[in-house]
Amino acid sequence: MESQLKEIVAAAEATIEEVTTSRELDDFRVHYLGKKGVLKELMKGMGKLSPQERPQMGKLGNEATQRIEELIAARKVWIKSRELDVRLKQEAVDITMPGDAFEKGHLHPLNLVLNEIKEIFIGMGYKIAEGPEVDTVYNNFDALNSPKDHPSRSLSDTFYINEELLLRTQTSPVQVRTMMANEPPIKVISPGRCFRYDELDATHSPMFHQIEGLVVDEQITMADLKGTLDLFAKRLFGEKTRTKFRPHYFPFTEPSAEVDVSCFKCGGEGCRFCSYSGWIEILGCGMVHPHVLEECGIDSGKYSGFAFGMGLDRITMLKHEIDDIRLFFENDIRFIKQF
Amino acid sequence: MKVPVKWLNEHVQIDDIPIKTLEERLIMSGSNTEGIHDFSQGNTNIVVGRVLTQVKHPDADKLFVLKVDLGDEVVQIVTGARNVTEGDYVPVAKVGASLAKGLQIKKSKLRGEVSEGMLVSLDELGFSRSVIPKVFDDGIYILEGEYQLGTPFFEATAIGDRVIEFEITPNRADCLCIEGMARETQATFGRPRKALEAPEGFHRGRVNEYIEVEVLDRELCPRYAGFVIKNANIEPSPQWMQIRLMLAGVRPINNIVDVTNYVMLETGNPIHPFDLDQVDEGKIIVRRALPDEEITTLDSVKRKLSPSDLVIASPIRAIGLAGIMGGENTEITPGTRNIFVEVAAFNKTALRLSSKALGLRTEASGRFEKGIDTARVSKAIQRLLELYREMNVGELVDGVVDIYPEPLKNRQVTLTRREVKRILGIHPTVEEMIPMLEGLEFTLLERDDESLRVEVPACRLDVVKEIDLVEEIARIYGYDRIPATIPGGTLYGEYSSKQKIENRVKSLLVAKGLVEIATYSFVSPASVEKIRREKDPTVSQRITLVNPLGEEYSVMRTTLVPNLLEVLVRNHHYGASRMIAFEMGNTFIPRSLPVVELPDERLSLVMGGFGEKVDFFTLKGLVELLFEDLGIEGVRFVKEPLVDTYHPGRFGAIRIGDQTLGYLGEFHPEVLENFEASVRITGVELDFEKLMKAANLTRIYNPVSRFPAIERDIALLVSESVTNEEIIDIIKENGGRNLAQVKLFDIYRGDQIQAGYKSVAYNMVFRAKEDTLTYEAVQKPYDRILEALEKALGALRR
Repeated sequence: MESQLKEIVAAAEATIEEVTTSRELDDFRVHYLGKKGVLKELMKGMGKLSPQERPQMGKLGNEATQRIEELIAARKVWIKSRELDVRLKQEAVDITMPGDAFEKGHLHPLNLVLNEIKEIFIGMGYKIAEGPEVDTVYNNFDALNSPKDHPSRSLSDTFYINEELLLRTQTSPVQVRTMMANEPPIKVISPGRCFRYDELDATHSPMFHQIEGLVVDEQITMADLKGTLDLFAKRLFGEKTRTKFRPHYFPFTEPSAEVDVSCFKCGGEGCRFCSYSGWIEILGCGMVHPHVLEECGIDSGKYSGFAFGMGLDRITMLKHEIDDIRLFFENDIRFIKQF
Repeated sequence: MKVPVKWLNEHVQIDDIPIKTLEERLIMSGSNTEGIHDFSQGNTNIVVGRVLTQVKHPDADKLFVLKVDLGDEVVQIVTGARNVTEGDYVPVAKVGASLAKGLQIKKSKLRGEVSEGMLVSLDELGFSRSVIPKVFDDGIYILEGEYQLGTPFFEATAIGDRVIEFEITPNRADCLCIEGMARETQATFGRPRKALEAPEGFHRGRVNEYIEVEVLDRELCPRYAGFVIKNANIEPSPQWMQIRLMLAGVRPINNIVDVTNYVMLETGNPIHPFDLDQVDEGKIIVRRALPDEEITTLDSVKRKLSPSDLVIASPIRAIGLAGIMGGENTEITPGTRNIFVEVAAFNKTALRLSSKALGLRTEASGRFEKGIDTARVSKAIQRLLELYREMNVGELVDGVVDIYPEPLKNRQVTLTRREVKRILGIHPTVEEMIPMLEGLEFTLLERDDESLRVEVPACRLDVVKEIDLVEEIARIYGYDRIPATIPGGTLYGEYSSKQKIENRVKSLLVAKGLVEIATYSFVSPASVEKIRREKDPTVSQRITLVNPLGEEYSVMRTTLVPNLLEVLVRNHHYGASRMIAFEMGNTFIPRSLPVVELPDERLSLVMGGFGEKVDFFTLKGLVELLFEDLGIEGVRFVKEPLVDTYHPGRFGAIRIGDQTLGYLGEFHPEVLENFEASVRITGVELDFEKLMKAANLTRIYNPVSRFPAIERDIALLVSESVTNEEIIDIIKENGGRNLAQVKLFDIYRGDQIQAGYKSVAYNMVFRAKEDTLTYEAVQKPYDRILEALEKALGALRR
């Protein structure tokens, strides 16, 4: 019997290596350790042994069981790890298959650039002032020192609703409203839609967008204007951007300037974007004319201020190399989705 | 303003300054440019040659064979030009030359005759046809005088003179002449200029014997002067003058007219010559036109005048429109013998209105409109006399008529260092500022350590107040030398709460895959009918523009829906299969019609889309999400009142309490047809102002229950007419305080369900805050719900 026991253990030891799956291992267990397994069957013969032999045999039987259990336990670890390997292999995917499509929305490119500009000025302490698209002739022209007979007031330049109301041609009336409603210090930008009597073509639109800025306080100088716009240009177009202030004329500022930035495409070397000049004109600005301050109820002897204005459509076109302003208002999804 | 550099150099010496530097520094002192023209660029290998012989081409009627002496060689050139004769000096493009208009000159044969070069016309050199003298219009340019043969053409003549084109701002009419630009150059480079002579006054001499002048309206004509040329010889002006005029953009005509244009370009004062023999009775009257008076102007157009127009008249008829254009009846013709040359100043505003009313703008009217001082008339007269005398155009009658009752008094303005510092942030001393202003020909009157007082030159109509002098200092000091600083202060930047909500909503919509669009604020009047809203006064009452760009842009929008539909349909036509777009923009609601005050500009939000999985419930889901994000509760979608824009069965008014926030629905088939849509489109319109008022962005922490929830499902058979909302309301009413959530999760219609009925299934979640619920604890509310549903809606449990 003892030798039979040894044979069983030896057989188990010899065949355990052939067991490769959990199911086979179960079969293995049943075969050796099950209720009708070989071990149990053998041990049933213990009854035929003498009482002296029985404990000895019982002990040996337990040892054999233990040994086989050890074999099974070890094999189980091996099988688990092997089965995991197999599963991982089977589950491999073709990673070059396309990813699931997540639909992303898009802001209109004009608003994307506008947001960028707003953030820059908010960071510099500005608030965002808004005003109506329909405004008075007074706010749009008279209060801004625009001569009564200036051609820009004509029906061929400005859209009118009646003799006193028009579609604002600039966002400057928001500056007037701001100055009339607030005491200095004032520090705002006013973005918005503007309208001029221009036929629609690649570079003109009867509706376009401006962003103007206004700072009024004691001791605001043209040096402040230069520093502010230089910093703005660097933030919007890159740290290496340089600015050039050229004297110009606007009725509501004096002195006035046009501002060129070094071409942000070529860095000032000259390319097709800057017409090979190295500079791109983006802004008009100046010191608020004393007449305008006084008209808005601000003491021009005590306070001074600067104002600036730029075309959002033009800046967006430059930044994204868009060559036709009509694209902004056609709203082709294939266009908007690119931003 | 085109300024030939050599002409400028006669007024202020600049020929040692590289032209780029000249341009750059003038730009930086305030005279912006539009570029430098140089006819010698792009025209290479052109020399002066002389026609030795000219014979007809043996085989071609319209061609000539010329021998042309180029100095070191004589070449044969075949030409079609008819205006050359033997002995003429002409520009010759040699073999290998290239011309501005793109011609490349090669040795060639024309009908068997060798041609080694080409005679050149002004057109081929790149001159605009509008400045080429009539005689050279169709022919070769023939040089006047004698030249070293073979000399490069652009060295031999002034045609190679470079021209700077200045872009003069409207406030600086004084710069629209050579003298003005010489003054700017003087100030910019600190080089003294040679000013034209300006006599204090003129003696009348014998001019009265030929002309009598009476000015009836002194306000419109503050100065009227002139002189007489007797027995004039009308002929071409000298070539140097013609070239300068062409370079400056003016077509040479004849000696009398060319000098008037030349002096206008030099002094800025428009000048007009009259055929004196056609001035009836030798008398000129400057007066307002009579009602319905007529005049035929030099352009052969008969014009009807009104008393707001100022005319130059003889005692019996108008002979010119003052400051705008002369009359045909007194035009200088080749037969003109005696001439009256007028130099005058006219009121700029009256002239502008008159020119506008007549629809006639000329070089002269443009200049008068911008404002010309009365003082420069003297300079112009003096210069005209000089040039006419030099050119020997005829007999200059001694004396000048000059009606100038109120000679101009120059303004005086004070400038303080304090103001310069306050506005510019720089601190030049008075000592430093004086030469800046003197360079601009301000006359120093007084000064101390802190301020100065100057007299403003007559031509500087723009300098009135101290700030105007501050500007002069800034540009001469140099904008580039002003430091760059950042303003101080304690103001902080932020979005307003309204702007924050706008940003929040846009971010949410973009995150959910919507595309933002931007459309015009003005729309077509037909848009209201197209969306079937004629009966809705808040939409149909609109503001109309007086002068729209066209019918389709003629009214201010009261709704963003038509534009949204247009964009969606266009994209669908372009091939988009699915799209959801939104626009946030103003609508313009008149407070009364006709409009007397500013309209109510209301911010509106529209969303809309088409394509796979875009239907009523897609948009409804978006609206619900939006309201949830804005913390707006109690929103209901109700079927009434129906809005005709939408499909009556797929429509809901969005309401809180009794307030309507907007509409949601699939667009009505007729609306879709009106927009030529071939796809169903669903949209939402929201009054954003109301939305913002209802928004509540405050968030208070609500403890999360740590106890498990119990879920129960309920399946019901109900009539088709029972709505989801009705069922949910009953469930909520009867669910007790532990009912945390109820949701529709299935609808079934089909074989097992009898017609007119539907099977609906709801999932309910019960959760208590303070303990674990048992299955038994939710049985009571569950039964109550069932019973209520049965009673109220006839619902049967399945």
